Amino acid sequence: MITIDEVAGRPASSRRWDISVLALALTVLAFDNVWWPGRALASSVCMLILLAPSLSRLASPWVVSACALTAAYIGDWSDTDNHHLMIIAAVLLVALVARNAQRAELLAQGARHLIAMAFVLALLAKLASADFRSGQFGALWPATDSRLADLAVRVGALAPADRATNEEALEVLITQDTAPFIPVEAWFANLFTGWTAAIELAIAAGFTVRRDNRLAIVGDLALLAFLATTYSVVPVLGFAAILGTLGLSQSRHRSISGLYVLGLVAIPLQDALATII
Amino acid sequence: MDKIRVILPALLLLAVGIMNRVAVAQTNLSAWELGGFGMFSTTDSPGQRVVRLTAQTDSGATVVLLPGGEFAEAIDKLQVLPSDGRSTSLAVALRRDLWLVKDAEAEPQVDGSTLTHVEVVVGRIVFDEDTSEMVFNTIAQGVAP
Repeated sequence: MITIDEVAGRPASSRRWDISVLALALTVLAFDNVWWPGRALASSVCMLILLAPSLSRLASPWVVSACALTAAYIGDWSDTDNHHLMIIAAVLLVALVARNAQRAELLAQGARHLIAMAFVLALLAKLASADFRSGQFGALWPATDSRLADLAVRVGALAPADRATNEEALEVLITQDTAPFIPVEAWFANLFTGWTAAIELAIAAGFTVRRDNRLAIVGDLALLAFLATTYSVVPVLGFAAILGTLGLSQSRHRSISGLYVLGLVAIPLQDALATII
Repeated sequence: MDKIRVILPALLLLAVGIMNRVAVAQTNLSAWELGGFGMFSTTDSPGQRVVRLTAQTDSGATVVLLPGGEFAEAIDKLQVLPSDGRSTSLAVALRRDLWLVKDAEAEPQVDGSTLTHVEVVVGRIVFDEDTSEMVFNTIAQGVAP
């Protein structure tokens, strides 16, 4: 494979840093959609960084951005999602390494830690959940979440009439204590549960090892597979963006980096097209 | 020093994750929210928690459709982290807003009956495999006289 270090022009590490912080600044601008004063400040700082990229090598703009994002996260806690916390952690990482001469390498290492930690926590949450362990989550959630229910109906794991019944259940429960509900077929439930746990385990393991370990490529491929499969069905764009950005920051190979960039562009594009159609 | 800088943000995630697990175990916080990375681990997401507003009158109870607008944030918070205190606060605010009577002597009415109190109940939806039904389980409630 051709490494990104072979890219002509400016030093490769400098170029890698520029691309990574560009992606992060765009992620903050697009997906930090909570408490507006915090958003306004963080977005202004990121705009400045986009207009004057040399600012990205200073710690202070990133510190200001991290503080504003944290204030937004706390101020609007009921509206925040886990990807907002990931964005804060990524901005903090950039702030901590920005002034270091080895900033691109340190960012890559830190990005790997962040991805690994997020998926270790996701796996632990699944293991701690009686719902998930019993398989009930896999049977119920695809029948509950309209995005997954579409897929379940398409592959024959849920009858269209049953889907309609399930859609009414939440409304019925506003006035009554019980409502009929039909789970998806067992094969689909098992596939959903197994795939979710397996892909997250592969990502956690692949990003826990050092970057020069052979298994590291498993992490990249698993993360790309996760982005392609999960977010094409359930487009959680903020999470896709921060994971793609962190994946890009630590990638050494042009082909893998290209796939991360493709993911960063294709997932919102697919979502926009789906909305229009 | 560089190693600490590189690992610190991940440790921050870990610390928030641990606090989240403790909060999920000890309160009604949904595992989906507030930094636990528990999305897609349980059906008990905030969106699957039902908030019921009931107007109790001298002739029975009537379930009232929750208003959005200025109450949307309070309802969101109630779904993410329900508590009796938060339910009571919302019940009081809704009672004041929906059944405000300008004449202090008059009693508020619901469909011709006298309103006695307003109740906000938050329910976690649990699946009963025997009956193949979703069942409303109360996890927090508050009353405004």
